[in-house]
Amino acid sequence: MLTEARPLIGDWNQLEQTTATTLRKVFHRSVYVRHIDVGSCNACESEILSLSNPYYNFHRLGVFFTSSPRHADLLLVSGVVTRPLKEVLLATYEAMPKPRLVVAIGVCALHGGVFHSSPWVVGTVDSVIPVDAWVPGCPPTPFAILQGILSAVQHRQGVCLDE
Amino acid sequence: MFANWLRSGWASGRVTTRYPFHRTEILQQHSNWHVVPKIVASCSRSECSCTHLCPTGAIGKDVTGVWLNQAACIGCGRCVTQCPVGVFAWSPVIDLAVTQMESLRTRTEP
Repeated sequence: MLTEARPLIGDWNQLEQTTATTLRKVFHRSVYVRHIDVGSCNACESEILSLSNPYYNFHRLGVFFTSSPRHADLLLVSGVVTRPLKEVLLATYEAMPKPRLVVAIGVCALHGGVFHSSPWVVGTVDSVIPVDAWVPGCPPTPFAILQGILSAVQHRQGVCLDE
Repeated sequence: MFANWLRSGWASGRVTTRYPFHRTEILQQHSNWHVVPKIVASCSRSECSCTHLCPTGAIGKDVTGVWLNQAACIGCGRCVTQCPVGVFAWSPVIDLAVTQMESLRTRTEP
């Protein structure tokens, strides 16, 4: 599987090329991504981990993982926001430098999914912090996550840069 | 092809092969990696309710028709298999990410 070429889906190559130029305009060099799990079932984490393998290889676009929110430009949030992790999510968001982007991943982050009636659930991600792009799916494919990151960056290009 | 593979293997000191040797069916159809339910037909029946089929409340029904909220769909497929009218069908889609939440909601045509 790792020796095969990437699949060509629609105008995916054009989206990648336009986004690669947009990345340099908005963030000048590259985008550093911090991932936070606020109550996920680890299916979304499995798909996020696939982003950096040789098959999907999002480093070729200038997107990298970082372990500190102070170095991050983009926050990947997966899972429905639970009560203990709401403060953690807010603290992570406050620690990020501006301009900052947020991408919500998975049905749990968008709507609540199968956990939407749980008493330990605060709400969706966009009820806590502002979200730039939504990626539905349970779990979403790594291509959808990558498209979410790229469309968030593209969407931000039209918005004020210093927030 | 076989001779080239053997020659290059001997030249580099190790003879290996590609894995998997044959492309599997799922890799030949990249567009079918991810399927989600999609509304393909209109429904005006008032005697049955499809809202109870969905475990997350992604399906709603009113007098004008059926709506489907893609943001809440976990892809369990109960609506596809159990709807007697056939309103829902699997649809291959891989670029699902949006920047507007409202674009995830689809309706039947009136």
